Amino acid sequence: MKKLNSYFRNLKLRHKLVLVFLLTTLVSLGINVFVYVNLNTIVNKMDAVYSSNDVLNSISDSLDKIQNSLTGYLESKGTDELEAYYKYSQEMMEQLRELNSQPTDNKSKLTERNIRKMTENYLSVADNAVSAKRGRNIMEYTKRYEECQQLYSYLNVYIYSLNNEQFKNNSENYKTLMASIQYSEVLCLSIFAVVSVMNVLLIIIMTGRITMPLTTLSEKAIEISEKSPEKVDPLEIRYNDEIGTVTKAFNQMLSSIKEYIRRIRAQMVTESAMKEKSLLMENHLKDAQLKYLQAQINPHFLFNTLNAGAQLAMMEGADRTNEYIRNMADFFRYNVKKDNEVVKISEEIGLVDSYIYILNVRFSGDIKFRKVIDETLLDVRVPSMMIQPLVENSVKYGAHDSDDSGEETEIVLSLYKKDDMACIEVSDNGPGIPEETVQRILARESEGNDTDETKGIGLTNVISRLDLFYDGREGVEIISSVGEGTRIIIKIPVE
Amino acid sequence: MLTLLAVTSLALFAATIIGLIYFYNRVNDYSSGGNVQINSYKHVYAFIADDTDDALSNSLYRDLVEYGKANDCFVERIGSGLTSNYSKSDLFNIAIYSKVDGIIVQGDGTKETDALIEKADQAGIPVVTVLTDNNKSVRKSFIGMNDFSVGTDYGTQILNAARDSKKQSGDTVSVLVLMNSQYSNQNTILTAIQEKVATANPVGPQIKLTTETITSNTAFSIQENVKDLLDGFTVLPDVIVCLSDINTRSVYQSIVESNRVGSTKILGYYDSDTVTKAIERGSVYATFTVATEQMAKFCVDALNEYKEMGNVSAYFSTDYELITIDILAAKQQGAKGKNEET
Repeated sequence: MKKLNSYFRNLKLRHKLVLVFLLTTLVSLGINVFVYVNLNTIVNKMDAVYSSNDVLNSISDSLDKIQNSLTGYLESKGTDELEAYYKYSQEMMEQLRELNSQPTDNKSKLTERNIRKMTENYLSVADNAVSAKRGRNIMEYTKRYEECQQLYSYLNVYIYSLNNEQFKNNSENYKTLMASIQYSEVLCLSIFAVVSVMNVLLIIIMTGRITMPLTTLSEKAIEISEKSPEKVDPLEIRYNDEIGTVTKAFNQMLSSIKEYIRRIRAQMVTESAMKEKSLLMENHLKDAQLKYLQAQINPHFLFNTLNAGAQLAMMEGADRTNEYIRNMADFFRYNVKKDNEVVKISEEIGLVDSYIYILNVRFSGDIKFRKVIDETLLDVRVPSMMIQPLVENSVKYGAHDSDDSGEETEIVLSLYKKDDMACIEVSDNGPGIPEETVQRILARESEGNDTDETKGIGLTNVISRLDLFYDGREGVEIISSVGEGTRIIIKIPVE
Repeated sequence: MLTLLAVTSLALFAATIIGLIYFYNRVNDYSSGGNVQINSYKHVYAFIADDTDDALSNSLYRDLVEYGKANDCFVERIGSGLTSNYSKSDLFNIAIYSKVDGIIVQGDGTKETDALIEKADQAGIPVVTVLTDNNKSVRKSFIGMNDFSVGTDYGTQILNAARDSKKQSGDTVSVLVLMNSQYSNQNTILTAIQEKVATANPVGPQIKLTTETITSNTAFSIQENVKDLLDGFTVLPDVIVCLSDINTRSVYQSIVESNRVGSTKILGYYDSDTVTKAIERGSVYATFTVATEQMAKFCVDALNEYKEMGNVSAYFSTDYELITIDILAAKQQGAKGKNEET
């Protein structure tokens, strides 16, 4: 059954349809042939109803002819009569084979047996009579002839009686057969009706099975059009016919649509994240720029003015003033030029040098600044304004307090490589940063309550920009405790 | 929906198959020869009785057929169902020409039958006689009652009837014994009756035994002859002894017709339905029943044994039983009791 089912599934659509109509046609044809053969059997049986009477009539006729030819021969010894006698005897022997020869409890069959045996006896006695006639033994053939006559008489009565009996029986059988045929007609019509209904059902079932996948396919198509394709399950492929192929293609298409939608969605998420990131970066930069603009009071004017001051100091031979003003000019130039740019670490270090110089002039050389630089890392590119705020932070939190204690402020800027990362470390010997402040800075929370905010870009700003620039691949460490100084380490990937 | 249709379709398919099988079986049941069960047997034996209407021979034939079938042979009543009635001689010839395997014939002691038995014997067909013997023939065996014993019992019943007649010493009780010319064994019965009657009490009524022989041998003529005979009696004999079933029925019918029931005591032969009813009514004094089943068994066994062994015992004695109104009443009571028990 499974094999048959599998075979049917693998058939081509056209072959399936041919199979449906072939099957129903064959069923109808088979039943018609069956009914026809059986009705033919009944008709043959009807023909045979009176056959037993025919046989008996033939035997009776042959017996008459034999008796006549025997009588004729015994009277005249004519060869024609003898020939006729032999001919009819032969016929009779053939006809006798139609009769029963076994002892039986059926009256007609037993009578047939008696007729057969008596006829055989009759033929034997008649042969003896003919032989005696040839031998001209008058006494013998007369005696045999009389015996033949007696047998002939018995046989006629037996044949006649059996014929009557069989005719009566056969007439009954004929009536029964006629009734049976009428009954059979009704039966056949009923069978044909049932078969017709069955065939219609078969066609409905089989065409239904063939078209069902199409219907399902169409329903799926409607489902896709009505709701999201992602919520639509693929179709089960049951057949390997043309519909199966279409279903496969449909499933492929559905899968492609789902994949496409997934990709678009992912792309949209990425784009949205990128846009958000860009906006954040821009926001931070703007924030930084705003703070500097606020702090710098027209840096271009200031820078040009400082340049003029530097030239004046140089003309007057005031070298230190010249140096101071030049550093200030460089510092402001950097701020003007490098905003929103990616710069080399060496440039950032140059800015820190200028810044420290200015501060040292300002604070009378109280700030001791030391650099430990791995020069191979000087060309590593970083976002601008990254190191200076760190140094500013150290100056801000280290210098003020050290003034009070009288201890000299020392700030060390280190650039080294560790674990394939460029590490920028700014350390000071100041009073350190409280733990909660460190945590807030690392959590990228704004230092809003800082009264000196406007003076520096601020650690939070630096860290946030690093996050955006390196996508979190950078590392920021603040090692500080009260009275122990502060170490701020920024690890950036070497690219 | 498709499943429902499939189930319906399967049911219709099953109905179609069943219909076709039924149709096929019906078609094959229509036999041009009718639906008659036909059984074949090893042997066929012919039964030839003197009278086809005789209740005894009919009963015997039924038992012969029944017992024969059980022993792989069929007993055919030769000549029955034909458009002509044949004499015993013709029936014998037909049986011989039909090459039956054996003949069971109701003997009559005649030379003609002896010759027919010899003819059959020459044709290789063994013959057994039943009821009446042809003891001078080459029959292989005789199956029947002991005639002398039967005659003695008839004599006893005659004496009983004489006693019941309440006739005194010196009165004469007339007894008519009706015989048939074709049954030679009746002479033996008569002799036994005479011997028994001779032993009657000399102080009782005198018993006068007379015999009449019915010479005709067909049922119609026997009945006519008996009626003529009885009509010839102004006073019926006190006892009429019938030595055959047809005689018994003919005498009973004639007495009923002539409204002389009770004027004679009939001693019958065989317990046919008519005779049994007559005994119940008291119209027949007594009769003898013949054990036809035993007789049939002996006949078939004798022929089978001869076919198998080449020889068989020459005489098989069968049982008989006296039936009077008292015995019949007792039997019926017994049968009733049995029925109630079951």
